[in-house]
Amino acid sequence: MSEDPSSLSRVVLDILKPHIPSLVEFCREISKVKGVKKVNGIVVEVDAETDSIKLTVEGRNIDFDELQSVVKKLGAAIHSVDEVLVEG
Amino acid sequence: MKMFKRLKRILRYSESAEYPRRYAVMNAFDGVITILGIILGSKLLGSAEAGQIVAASVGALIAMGVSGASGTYITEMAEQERKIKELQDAMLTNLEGTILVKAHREAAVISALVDSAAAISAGLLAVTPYFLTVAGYISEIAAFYSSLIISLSLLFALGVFLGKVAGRSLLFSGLKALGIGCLTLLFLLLLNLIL
Repeated sequence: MSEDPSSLSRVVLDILKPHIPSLVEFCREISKVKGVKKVNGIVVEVDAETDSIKLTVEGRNIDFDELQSVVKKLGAAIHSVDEVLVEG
Repeated sequence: MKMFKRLKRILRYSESAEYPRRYAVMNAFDGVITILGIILGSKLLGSAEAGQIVAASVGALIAMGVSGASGTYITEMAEQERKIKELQDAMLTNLEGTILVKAHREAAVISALVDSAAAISAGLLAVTPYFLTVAGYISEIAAFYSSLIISLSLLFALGVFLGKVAGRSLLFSGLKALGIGCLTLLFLLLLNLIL
């Protein structure tokens, strides 16, 4: 099986997360995902128990499966994938 | 250092940072007062020997340790499960397997261990002079006064610590805790007079 030559280099996610871990800790954990070079988190809405955030993840060959699993491990849920940039 | 960081993270993630502190003070207090009761009771109301005081103290502390750990674990686990459920309801998802659920459950274990360790260590410290008597290093009367001083000092120190937590007068808070020890002493003196 040949390796997929396309590389995921940017993805924008709409995420619902609990207040804890904080946005800083959350972004730090995401930055540890394979291929990730830059993480930008923006709080869109704050509720009693949760935060809705827009997470922009940039890098080269971002491991999206690992990204999803880290988001889940942190107790958050991906509501939608709003933007994707794949380079060939 | 890594372990300390991990503990801090567990307590932060489970929003339980103040719980171990509360349990530590509460049960250290219990441990000291129990030992104070045994020491004063055996001196004022009876004529127990050092070995018997040590045996009674160790028995009481083990019982306190087991009861503290199990009681706190059951209570805390129920509280933490409630928190997890609330969070799951807000997130509309099952959080099983996340670091948050893990942290909440580990926080219950930490609280239970702190609770138990606080009672045992504070109580052991208070009864230490009697161990020295059993080993033949000091006399029984010296052990009695030493234990009394250690117990009251521990109560004062716990009061000072609580004063620091509350941001109030350390001296007043320390004296208040010391007063509780003196109250125990007073009750036993009264009982001694009645009997």
